[in-house]
Amino acid sequence: MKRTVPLIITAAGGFTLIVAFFIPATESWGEVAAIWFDILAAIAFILGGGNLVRNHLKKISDQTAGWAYSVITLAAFFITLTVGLFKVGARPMEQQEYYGQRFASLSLEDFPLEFSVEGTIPPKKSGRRLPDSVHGQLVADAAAGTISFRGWMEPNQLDDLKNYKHLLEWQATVETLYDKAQPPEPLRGKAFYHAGHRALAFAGRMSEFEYHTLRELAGTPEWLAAVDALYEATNQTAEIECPADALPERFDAAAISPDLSYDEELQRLRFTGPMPLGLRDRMVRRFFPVATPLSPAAEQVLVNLLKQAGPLSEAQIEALSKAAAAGWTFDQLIAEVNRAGEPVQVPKTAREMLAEKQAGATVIEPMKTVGEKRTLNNLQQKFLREFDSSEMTVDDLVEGLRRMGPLSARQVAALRAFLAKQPTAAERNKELGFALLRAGPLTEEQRDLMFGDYRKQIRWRRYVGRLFAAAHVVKFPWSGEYRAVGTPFWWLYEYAFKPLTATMFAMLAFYVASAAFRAFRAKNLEAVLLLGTAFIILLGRTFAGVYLTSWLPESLSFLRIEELTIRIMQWFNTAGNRAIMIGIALGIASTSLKVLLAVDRSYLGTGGD
Amino acid sequence: MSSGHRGRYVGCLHGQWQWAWLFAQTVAALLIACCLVAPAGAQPDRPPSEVAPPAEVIAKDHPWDGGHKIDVLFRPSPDDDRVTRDAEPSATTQGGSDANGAQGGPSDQKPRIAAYIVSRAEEFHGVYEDVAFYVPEAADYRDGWLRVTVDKCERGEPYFFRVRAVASSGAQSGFAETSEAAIARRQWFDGGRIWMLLITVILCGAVVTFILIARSGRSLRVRRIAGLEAVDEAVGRATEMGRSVLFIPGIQDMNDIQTIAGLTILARVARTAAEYDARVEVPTSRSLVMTAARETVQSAFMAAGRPDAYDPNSIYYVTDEQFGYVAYLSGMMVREKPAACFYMGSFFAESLILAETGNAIGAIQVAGTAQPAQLPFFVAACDYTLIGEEFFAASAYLSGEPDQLGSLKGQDVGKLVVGAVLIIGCGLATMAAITGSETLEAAVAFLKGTMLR
Repeated sequence: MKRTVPLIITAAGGFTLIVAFFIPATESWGEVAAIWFDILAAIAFILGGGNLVRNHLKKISDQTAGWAYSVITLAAFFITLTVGLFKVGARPMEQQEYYGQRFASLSLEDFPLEFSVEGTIPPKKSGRRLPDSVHGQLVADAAAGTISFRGWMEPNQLDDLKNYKHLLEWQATVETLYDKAQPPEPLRGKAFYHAGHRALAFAGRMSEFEYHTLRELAGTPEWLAAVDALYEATNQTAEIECPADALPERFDAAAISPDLSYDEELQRLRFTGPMPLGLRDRMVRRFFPVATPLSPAAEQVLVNLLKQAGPLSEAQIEALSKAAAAGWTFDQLIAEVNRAGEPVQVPKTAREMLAEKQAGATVIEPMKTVGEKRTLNNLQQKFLREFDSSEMTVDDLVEGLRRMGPLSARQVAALRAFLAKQPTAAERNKELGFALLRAGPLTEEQRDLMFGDYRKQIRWRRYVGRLFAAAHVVKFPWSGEYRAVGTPFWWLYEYAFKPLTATMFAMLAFYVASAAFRAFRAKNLEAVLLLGTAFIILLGRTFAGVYLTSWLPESLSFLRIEELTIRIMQWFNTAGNRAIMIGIALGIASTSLKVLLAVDRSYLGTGGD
Repeated sequence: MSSGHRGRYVGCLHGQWQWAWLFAQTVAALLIACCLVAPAGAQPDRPPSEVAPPAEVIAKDHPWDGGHKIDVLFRPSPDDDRVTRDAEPSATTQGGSDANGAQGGPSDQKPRIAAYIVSRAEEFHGVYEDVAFYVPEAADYRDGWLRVTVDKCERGEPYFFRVRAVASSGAQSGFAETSEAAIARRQWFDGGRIWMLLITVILCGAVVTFILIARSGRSLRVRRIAGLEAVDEAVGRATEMGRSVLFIPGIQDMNDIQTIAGLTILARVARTAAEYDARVEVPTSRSLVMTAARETVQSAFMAAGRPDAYDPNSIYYVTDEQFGYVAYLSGMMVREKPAACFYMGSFFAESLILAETGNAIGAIQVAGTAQPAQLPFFVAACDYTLIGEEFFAASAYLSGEPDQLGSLKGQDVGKLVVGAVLIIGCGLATMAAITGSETLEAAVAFLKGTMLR
């Protein structure tokens, strides 16, 4: 029995894989067999790990020669296992955390709102089920001819349902259902229901009005309890200590968010509610103006300031000029805004396309053009070129541009996005400072001039980061990647494991040399041939080899050493290799058959049961 | 369908022949369209285009597949010069030359068709998405139909197709479309693998046949394999020197046939070691290999009548990590200096590090692998090397059982088949290159693309 069972498992697994290769209906069997092997191997790893620990503990206990290495091995084993298994220092996954939202538990059954539209779910002959993202939420009532959705539908659910079946009528029905299955207007974009998490969620701080609106949607105790919990959760205040000198110049908490405040007396920065990622980023950059292109006059002013602070060589001035010219230009910004002013192609809704089809159209284009062409007029361009971020905010800039001519929402968004991608003046100065340092030394005063603002920005960013972390309640602390950059596991891998592995691999070079020395001894004709071939191949792969025979005329180019190398590798080497590989393939087929038919059982040992 | 397309195409001509030609073409095309069995639908409101669309489209299930493919067949656009080139003389006699003559020679005016675009929708006159950009080759025009196999169709679901012609100028024609749904169905057998099945049956059949012949009592001769003869010698040497035998079963898991082949040799090595009272050490890089190797060695010791000498602690797990494993083995070899080293399994970059270390300590070394890239290293540094198929023949060779020797003979039949295919293939390819014969080229393409795919 001890040998029969493995033989049966082997034969069953092997024949399953063969059948799965030829018969499409059984394709999944092969995948299942492979998964089973992985599970088995994973379980067996426990055996291996246990064996490793046991062997090394025995060595330590017996104090056999080299037992200290066993101590190191075991220590490394347990440290790596711990930091990897418990994801020590790994940040939670961003998409799992829903930064800027707070959650309150509410099961799908307790979600009191259900939205219905007329229609049916088109059947799938392949037996494919509805998308997993709407599992349990979407149901059809065949008798009433309606489809119902429990919960508020999210955009990804809409996309999944539309992709379930590409029929315009179905997609139009889903779009209608999506529009219905949304929270009422004041809560739209703020209140969510994540069925997968069994949670009601709210983005940002919930106001009294929003709280009452949400409560009035239903009167079940579960719903009210969830809304109350959510209100409380979104109105929690997080605070961190932040010295006044860490605040940026012209800091104005209200300009960022009404939920942000600074207590000058206690020197504490406070934020009420969860902080979204966008707000965090805005906080970091809001008081550090974007770097606008340096005019020659501004560049000269900077040079003069630097000269007042210390000596500056010609090379440094040139380096500064080059580095300053590498930044963005107003022409680029104008081109970007004008590009955003072009009419754009946007996808049509399924309802629009269905209407076209019902009107008799046979060619339905899925895209439509919206908007009219808008380019910045001369006045707007002039105003844009005069933009100085130290005197004017981006909001002022947009307002000014609107006063001088038409400006579409897409153009405003493009302008903001363009400027958001550019470095701040502090970051630009830092880059200029590095350029100066590469060209020559800087005095302490000059360094302060170039790097002072950047230091402040970095310091402020740290405080913002701390406030962001304090304002966030971690939902899934173990959702992060254990080998993410910066984690202890990554550190061990990068700075201990990789160098050690590379060291072992590097030793191969020396072993190749010693093996070649032995293999290439010209003892007989075969060895001489081997030596000659190796000589050509080795030489042909070096610059020297190419150089040595480069004098050969074009008519004799086939004798050039690099050409000979290619020919040897392509013809002789490939032919020899293929002969071996054909033999190997036949050997594998024959051995596999013997194993499957249990003709060869020697891998299970030669004894009986 | 065709009438509309052709009508628009000749619409640029003038003179009375133009109308006569248009009328004749319209009537002819209508007659053809009525006679067609294929579900090609007309396109009533095709957008103006100078390029005529394909004349007819049919879509049907791709035969003998897993139910994810549909074949779209269509007649090339009348403007496709690879079709019309042969038909031009007859067109001339029908008065086409006069019609076309107004603007020069017939082929000069035709927009050169560069490709066809196939698009697909799940409902008739729904939203069609492009699924194939097809550039036909000369051989594709043989039977007057062009074929495109559209993949990634959902099994059992209806699909509708449209085909447009694309001129080399980039201009696109209107479309020809199917009006009936095509459904991808799953067949019980994957026809694309029929040749593979045939080869498998021949090879396996040969192996099974020779096993039966061997069982009938006929003696089978197997050539001497020095590497396997050396097993006893190596273990004997270790016994004499009072040192251990090191057996390394590669760095792959039990799902690799090389590891299994390695374990079959381990059985023999362990049995010999048991008989000689030598110690066998088997460090493994996979847990499953460790457990399997323990079974193998234990059984071997029992078969040798020395179950008491079996020490499970001599077969142990080191690490899954390639170079960690190598580091351990190299250190162990230098410290303990085994007298015989066996490397039997799947090896990669570690092969030379191990073999050179073994060489440095003066051990007798026997290696066997089916990794062609590692064979030169083993040949250079080991005393004996089992090259490729020899490695897989070890079990049969060492056991000497008729069943197993029969399988080796079956393998030889496989070699004969491969040799024959090689000779035929090389001959056909050479003849095709010399004569330029399309038939021979097609035969070579069939051999390479279909039989040996």
